[in-house]
Amino acid sequence: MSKVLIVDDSVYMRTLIKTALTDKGYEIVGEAADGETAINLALELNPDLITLDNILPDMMGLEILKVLKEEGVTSKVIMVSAVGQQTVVNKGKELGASEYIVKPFTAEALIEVVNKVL
Amino acid sequence: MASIHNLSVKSKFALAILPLIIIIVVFDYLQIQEHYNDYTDSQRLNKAIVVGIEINHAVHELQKERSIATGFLSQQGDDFRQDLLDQRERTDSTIQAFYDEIEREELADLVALHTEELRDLGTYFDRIQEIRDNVDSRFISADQVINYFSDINEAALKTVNGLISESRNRVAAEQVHAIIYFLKAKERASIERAIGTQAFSRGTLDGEDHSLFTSLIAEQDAFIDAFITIADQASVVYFNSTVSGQDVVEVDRLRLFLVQNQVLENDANYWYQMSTTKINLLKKAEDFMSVRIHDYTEGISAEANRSLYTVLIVDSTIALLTFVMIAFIVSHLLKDVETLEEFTKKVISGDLSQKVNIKTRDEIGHYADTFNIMISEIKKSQLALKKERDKARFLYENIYKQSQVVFENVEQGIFLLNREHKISRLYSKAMETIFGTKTIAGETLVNFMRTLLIPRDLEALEMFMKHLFNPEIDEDVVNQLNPVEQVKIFTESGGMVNTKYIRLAFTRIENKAGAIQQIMVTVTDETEGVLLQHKLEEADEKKKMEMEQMLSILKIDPALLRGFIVNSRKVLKSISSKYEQHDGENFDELLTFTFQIIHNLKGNSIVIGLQILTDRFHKIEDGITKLKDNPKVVGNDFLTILYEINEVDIIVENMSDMLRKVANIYNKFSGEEQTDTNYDLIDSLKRGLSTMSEDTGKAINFNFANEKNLNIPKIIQDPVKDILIQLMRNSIAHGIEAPNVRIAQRKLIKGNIAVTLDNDEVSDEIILSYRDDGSGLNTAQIIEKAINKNILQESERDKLDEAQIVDLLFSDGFSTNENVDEYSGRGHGLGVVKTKINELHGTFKVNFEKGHYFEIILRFPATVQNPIEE
Repeated sequence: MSKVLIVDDSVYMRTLIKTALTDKGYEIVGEAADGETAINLALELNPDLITLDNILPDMMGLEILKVLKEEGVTSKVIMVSAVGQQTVVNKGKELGASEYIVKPFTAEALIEVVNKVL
Repeated sequence: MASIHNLSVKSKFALAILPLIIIIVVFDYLQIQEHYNDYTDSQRLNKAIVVGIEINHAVHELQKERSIATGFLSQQGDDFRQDLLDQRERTDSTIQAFYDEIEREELADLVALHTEELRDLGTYFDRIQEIRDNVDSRFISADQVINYFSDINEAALKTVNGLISESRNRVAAEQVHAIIYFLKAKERASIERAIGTQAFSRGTLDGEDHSLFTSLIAEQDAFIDAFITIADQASVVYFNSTVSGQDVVEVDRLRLFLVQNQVLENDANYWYQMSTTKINLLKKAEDFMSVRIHDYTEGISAEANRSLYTVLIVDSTIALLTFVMIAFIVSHLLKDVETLEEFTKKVISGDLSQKVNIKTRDEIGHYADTFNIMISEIKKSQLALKKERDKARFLYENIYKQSQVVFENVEQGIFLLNREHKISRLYSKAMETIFGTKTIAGETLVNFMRTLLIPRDLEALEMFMKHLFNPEIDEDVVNQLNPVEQVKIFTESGGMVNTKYIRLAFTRIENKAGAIQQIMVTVTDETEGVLLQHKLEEADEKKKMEMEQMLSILKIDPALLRGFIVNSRKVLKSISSKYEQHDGENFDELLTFTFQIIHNLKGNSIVIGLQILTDRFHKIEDGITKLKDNPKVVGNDFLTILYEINEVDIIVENMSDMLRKVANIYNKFSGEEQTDTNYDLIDSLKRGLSTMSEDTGKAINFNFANEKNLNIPKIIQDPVKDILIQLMRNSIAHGIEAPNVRIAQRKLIKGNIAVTLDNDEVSDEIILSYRDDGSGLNTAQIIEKAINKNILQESERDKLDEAQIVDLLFSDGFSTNENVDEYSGRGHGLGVVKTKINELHGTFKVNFEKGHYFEIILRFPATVQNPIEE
């Protein structure tokens, strides 16, 4: 069973993702609403997958991705970005993100991307 | 490529400029089109936004109606009935406003573009009434209502998206997308309100609605995030400041409450009021942004409009300027090229009078300058040529023609010899006159002279020609060798052979290097000069001889000389007589006879010291000696001797004259009247005879012999002269024959009249005998004439003796000649002679021999008496 860490400042988005993935049998090992928590949880839990929102209260998703890669975290990362942030998507791929998904998305779209990565 | 080469300059220019023109046109077209597109695009966007705003208004009202309808269906009571009816009116009025809007004329083009989408939207709007009916009769659930209305709103928003998302303006497109995201967020907020209202009405948010509700909020957040990311600063600021405050926080609280709690205590109206307040705030932000995008698009439309016209004007101006510039330059170039071409054609046709006038300072201008320089050079050369030609003409007319004239008229023969010794084509006209031929040019000088010169001279001339052309021999030296310096030639003209004396002079003509090019030869006809010189020499000789004779005479005793002369005349005459009588056979005897006489005379002349005649006689002796040695002597051989004898005779005669002159001078200066000379008488008789013999063509000698040196007394000289002249007239007219007759009668051609003066000392009478060697008298003819003239009776014809017949001649009125001329036949004749003799108391006696001579001897008394008066 793959372990997933959800990083998003919106509780509704986290809920949305958690519900969608749990329904499909993924184990949600942690949720983070800010960057610092996200990094700590990632290091602590070493999940298989991290869904990483780009806009967080304390830092940008890309910064978190960079730190994680530097720290040697091997988790797959799916960047979650709002519409109109194409640069974020490209930058993320450069930094080592496996996939991306643009908000708002349907549960089906999310599952498809996650299956692709894992 | 060759076809391009053959094009005219104009076409080449056109070909070269064509791509440029196409580029300019295409570029301008594209730019203008771009701006036009921007303009139409911004206009369309502006219109789309107007329509979109109308749709959004309708959507907003439908959202509200959806929530109220949901609340109405979720509750069993009529809490929402009145609200629902009010809302339906507002919804309808906004939908009507949308319909009104799209009916507007200004939007026709936009509407036409989106007819299908708008029609689809219309069908959605048409369903509203059905949904309302079902709501009123409560046949459908709240969830169904939410779905129906959501479908309508989805379609409406999709239509708005379709209308306004086509903008080519990036900023506008971004803002449009921001608004669309915002609208999507707002729609989700509206559905959230409906579901929330339903949940509060029911008192629970069950499983399916719970996840829907959560996802609606998540989607809202995502769309708002997207909106914030791409919306402009002002919109974001406005959104943040507007959608905030107590009511917004209260909505967040109620949401969380709904998601986290199983049992709901708050009533649905409160939720509805709160979420509607928030949605109205969203609506307010939406309106702000709608106005803003509307203003913006209007702004860019105006901007596009302005820049379209700017571009239109600028591009057109640039294009026009380019065309004008190109046209100006090309037309100028072409004009210059045409000017050059026309000018070139003129020059080719020979017109050099003009200069090509091109003011431009480009290559063509330089070509034109070069051209002008060339033409002026050509003009100069032409001028120079013309000068040369004029000079040549001048030379021809003034020098060649003059020399022609000189050559035509110069008396000298002038020509040139070339190196082949040939005579030049041009020679002076005198050449033809001198040589009597016209075939002169082209002949070598030696050949030309061949027939004119004796072989020795010709040979010398050939040699001389070689020396003449030999530059090693000095010209002066060569000229001393000239064999034709003066030469005698024989030319023929009109069948007559002429002797000419000509002189040829040669002058070398050398070139600058000193080589002999030609020889100029001048020919001078010296014939006249030479002949004149000969005559002068002859005259000199004659004078000298006369002088010698004179001197000889003066040295010799006059008596001896007279004796010699008388003797000489006598014996010389005897020679003539001997020849006359000779039968033409025994020449030896004749020669011997002549030789003896001449030899004897020579002896005499030596004796008296007459050297001139001695020489002459000696010469005659030599001639006779030569003839004697010749065994075949013919008559003509004597002619030379006779001629020489005649010359001696003349000399003797001259001496006789001189002697008489000397005697006359002597007598005149002696002062003695009695010894008056007969000189004047004899002289006048001679002159008379000379005149008469010339007129009649009969040559006659006159001899006057006066051995005793007697004088005719002066008182009777005139009558004696008259008598003698009359007698001479008769001799010329009747006695001396014509020359041809004399030749036939073997007489000397020249007739002879001799007058001898003598005297009879016994009777004291002067005897004057007159004798001619003519035909004598014809007695029969005299008798016939006398009878005809009635001087003699027919009966007495045979009774007269010779003396009586002769007397008839001296009768008055007798003339034997039929013709009357100057010298006889005037009917007086010898009658006059007889009368004159009687006057002088003289007598006369006639002797004659028919065919040989006539003689009359007159005797006058020597004592002077006065003539009888008539």
